[in-house]
Amino acid sequence: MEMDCIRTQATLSAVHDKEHVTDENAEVARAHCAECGQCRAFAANLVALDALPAPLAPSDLADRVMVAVSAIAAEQSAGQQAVLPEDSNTASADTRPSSQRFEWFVGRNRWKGFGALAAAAAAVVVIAVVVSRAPAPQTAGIQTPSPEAAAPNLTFSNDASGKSAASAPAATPAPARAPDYLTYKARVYAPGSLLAGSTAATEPLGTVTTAFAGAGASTPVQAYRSPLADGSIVVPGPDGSRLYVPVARIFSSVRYQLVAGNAVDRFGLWPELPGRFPVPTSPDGSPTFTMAGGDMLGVQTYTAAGVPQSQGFAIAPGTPSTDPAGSNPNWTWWEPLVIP
Amino acid sequence: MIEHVRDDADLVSRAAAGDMGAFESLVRAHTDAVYAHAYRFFGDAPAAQDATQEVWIKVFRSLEGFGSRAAFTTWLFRVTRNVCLDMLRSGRRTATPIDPVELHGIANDDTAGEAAGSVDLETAMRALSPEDREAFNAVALFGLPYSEAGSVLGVPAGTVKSRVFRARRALTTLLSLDARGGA
Repeated sequence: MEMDCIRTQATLSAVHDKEHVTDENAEVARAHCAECGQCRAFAANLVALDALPAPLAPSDLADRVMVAVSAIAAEQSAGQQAVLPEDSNTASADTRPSSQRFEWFVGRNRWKGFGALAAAAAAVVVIAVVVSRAPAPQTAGIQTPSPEAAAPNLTFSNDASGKSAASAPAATPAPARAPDYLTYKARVYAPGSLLAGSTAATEPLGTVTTAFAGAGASTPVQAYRSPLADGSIVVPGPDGSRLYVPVARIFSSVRYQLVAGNAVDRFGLWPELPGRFPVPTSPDGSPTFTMAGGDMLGVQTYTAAGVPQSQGFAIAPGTPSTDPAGSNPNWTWWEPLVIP
Repeated sequence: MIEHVRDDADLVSRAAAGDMGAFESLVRAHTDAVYAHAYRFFGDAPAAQDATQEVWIKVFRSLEGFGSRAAFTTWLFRVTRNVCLDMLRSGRRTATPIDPVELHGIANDDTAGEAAGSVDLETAMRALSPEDREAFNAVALFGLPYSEAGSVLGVPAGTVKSRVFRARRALTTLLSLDARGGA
């Protein structure tokens, strides 16, 4: 290869990377390319090379990353509570807007706006803490529905020595208020990040019906396709356009999203089972459901007759507040996540 | 599609303030780049997945200390590179071996044609020296300017320019992208 070709192609490579090239070098390269087909081809090949796909991460890798990271966040939160026990008393006096109160499920937690996976991972950590530090009403493995498990919220308190200790106050009722859920096509979403800019250029989906945090009548609100293609949707609200992330859990490496049978048309309402499933009358799920295996968090799943578990499963009420189901007092139903 | 999703700096700022949704956005936006670099470093998917997870955990733990000293992608590339090197040094993983056959194809233009067209991008990547490959990744995967890539790699920007160019020449030759003197 001629030295002029090497110099020209090096210049072309730098220009391709939007690096500064002197006018003189640019002119030399331009003049050379006018006479050299090989260098013109090289310029075209830079574009072709960019178009070749790099190795793509497995589709669930980001989910797994978030599970791991969220576990750490929950661990940090637990530690924070352990040294600041008085803060646990402030939750009931929380006067912040409801849109900022999604952090409730890990108690006093600076990590606001967790996605569903965050809650899932938090459950792993908190359950582990309980197992190692206090006699808990449930094991770290498969969760067996029981009267004790009906309210497995965890609190941390200081003993007389000032050391922190975990306890499982079975008497603690589930939160009366659900997170700031809304539903789109019966699937449940929780608030994510606010987005900058307008949604005018986005692709409209259907509508969600919600009053947000308001007490008035719910109204249809146009939802938009998320730029993240991760199952989230964009919904313009009182504080701007916000991503709403699917409330989801992982089973057999697949994300399953919470499906509501009732109208979750304002913040704070708990999703209920779809109407086709009668509410079980027994803690073992009967007569509607049959106990199946644990999900990624070791939480007991239940199958419905005629529905393969890959297509949906139920979760009993009374999961920890850190579970994706939250402390939902109702049975919940989960189906494979669909990208809207 | 939304064109004005908050940029990395804003997402980092929000994530550092406790917004897990913002952190998740960062993860989803950049995991492919992290994974691709690790995959090319180790040459196998399980190692790349382990590295990717470790990278994000380190990023998460260091968010508050990150500030805005550098572009997020520069920092992310630095963390990714260090994680891969640490995994290699600890003996937990081995690096992708360089394929001498492909190197021969690049070194000699007369034989390059024999190798050309017979390999895919990732096979061709293995023919690159580790130095050229990571410079190429810094620019092509993470979008770093030469100066930023150089600061991470510990070399001048001009060296990054040379390495990236060398990598591109080798890749276009091996992948038979080069028209090789067409008019």
